[in-house]
Amino acid sequence: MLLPVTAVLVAFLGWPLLLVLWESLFVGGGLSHGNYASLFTRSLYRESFFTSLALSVSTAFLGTVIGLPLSYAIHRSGRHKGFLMALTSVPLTFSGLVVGFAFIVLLGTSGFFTLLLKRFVDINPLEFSAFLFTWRGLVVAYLYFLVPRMILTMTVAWSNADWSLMEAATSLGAGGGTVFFRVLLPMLGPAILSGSSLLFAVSMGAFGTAFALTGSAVKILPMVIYTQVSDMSSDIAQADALAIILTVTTTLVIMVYERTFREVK
Amino acid sequence: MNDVKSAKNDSKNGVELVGVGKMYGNVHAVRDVSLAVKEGEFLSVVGPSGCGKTTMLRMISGFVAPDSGDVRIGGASMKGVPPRKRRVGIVFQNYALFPNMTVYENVAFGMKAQKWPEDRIKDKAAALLEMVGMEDRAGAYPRHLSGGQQQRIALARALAIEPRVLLLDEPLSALDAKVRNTLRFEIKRIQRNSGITTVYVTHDQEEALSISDRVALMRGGALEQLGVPAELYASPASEFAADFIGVNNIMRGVYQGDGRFVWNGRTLFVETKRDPGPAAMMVRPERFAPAEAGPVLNEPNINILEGRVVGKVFLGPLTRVAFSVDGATLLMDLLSAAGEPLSAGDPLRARFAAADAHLL
Repeated sequence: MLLPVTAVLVAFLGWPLLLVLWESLFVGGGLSHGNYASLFTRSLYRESFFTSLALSVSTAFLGTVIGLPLSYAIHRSGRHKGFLMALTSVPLTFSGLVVGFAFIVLLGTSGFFTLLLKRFVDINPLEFSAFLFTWRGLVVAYLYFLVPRMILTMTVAWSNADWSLMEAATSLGAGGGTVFFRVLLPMLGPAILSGSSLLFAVSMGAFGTAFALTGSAVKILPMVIYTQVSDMSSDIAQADALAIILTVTTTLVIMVYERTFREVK
Repeated sequence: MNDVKSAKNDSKNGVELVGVGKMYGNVHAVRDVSLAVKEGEFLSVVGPSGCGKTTMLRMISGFVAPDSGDVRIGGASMKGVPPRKRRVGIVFQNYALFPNMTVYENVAFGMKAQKWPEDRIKDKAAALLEMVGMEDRAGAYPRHLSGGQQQRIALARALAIEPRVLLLDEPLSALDAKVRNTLRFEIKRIQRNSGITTVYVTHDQEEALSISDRVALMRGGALEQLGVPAELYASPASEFAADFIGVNNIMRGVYQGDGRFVWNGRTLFVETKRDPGPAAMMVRPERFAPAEAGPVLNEPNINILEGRVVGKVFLGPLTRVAFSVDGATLLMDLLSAAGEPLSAGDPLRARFAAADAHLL
């Protein structure tokens, strides 16, 4: 049982990662940590690193806060549940590029809603849609495919929830706040943790949506890696180093995050 | 002085259901149930699944609002009183302990929610943990405890808020037989010592008979019979009650009047007085005894049936013998004796007294 799992992990995760790591250690044919040091020395890399972190933390947080009540509503929607779940899964089937273009078509400078708003309220389409092409715009676009992920994770948790815990707490005289913070949240804790970790990881690595919306205007780490690989001045070793940094950071953040909030041992 | 006080207590009701009903869709979960649980009384509610016993419990705790009728606790109507204000302690089938809290925190939860002073919480929690024999596990988390231990903590937690009523919803059905038996009598002991009005829901009639002051039998949302355990056992009000409470032989025939009952062409004697007509006669298996060989001559107070043994089951102290009489299979319980001589195919003469036959 363990052997095939290990074999798959080594072949498709361990080995490629090792190759990338190995390549990243060379600068001009010689072993060096230069590709890593450039994260601190080159402002483009540093900024893209922090933009990616800010983007991912925001989307993970907002996606969790929005997804939680929605997942509850869907869980309680009775006979419509199946339909709503199917609808929720639709955004997950789109590639990031499609999502990006969808936002341009809807909210871009000559987008559907932008023009509609312009007709009824006096707005400047350029000013209105400018927001879309900043990292905050990316947050909105990312939520489109992150919230469904949160909902799917949480509906499982809601169906496994033990409601007698809430009844026990209520019958013991606890008010709504106490029940929510002392009983409900700890009970859903593991699901919220894994859901928000998933959102963070997905948005750290997401690329297509940002590419379609902002080209390379908003510097996020995956975009910088892409330009390193595709530009005329391609520097594969540098791209490798940034990819390793992206992987390690994502893994570390999730580990520390889960360690901190997982009270229930 | 004491007599006056106890007489007064006897008349006081801990919990009262007045014509309560509840519909789910077009199904009557509970229909027009009126029932008074006296203060300090231990009342069990039994019945097959779907009989409305759990809905009834949830109406007392306030998590289900009755469509009609009224629930009263300590004489006061609970209409509009939310569960958290009812001071009702609940013990759930799945324990429902808070997994993120220690045993102590679980027991202290209700007292903290009700803002008791810290030292009083400590004293009370310690006393409760000692009462349920768990004082050395105060720092443990529920997942480190066995099912039986968890249910003890759940009981302590429910009693901590000094509830006016204790509700237990099949508290033992998730436990194995040995623990179930120990805990059953422990619950009874604790209930008797604290004198708390208790409503105990179970599908296990034996459990209900063994610990209750009175038993309420439910069927299809309605109250079928209410009485002390011995009464339910000896004189069930219906065929359903006779069948649900204990093991029974039910023989359908015609009552001739005059203490004569005709079953499969045989005339049997009964003592129950009723109008002639089709009827069911019930005899508990332990009321049968082997009879001496001889001619079948039924006397007015002794009935004798001749048949053949079809099988037997060893139950420890008892051996249950199945025997057939004119194609009908009846059960007889005998004290297990060494070298039990009866085996399948043997002829058997079974006797029972007219007084032990109950006509429905």
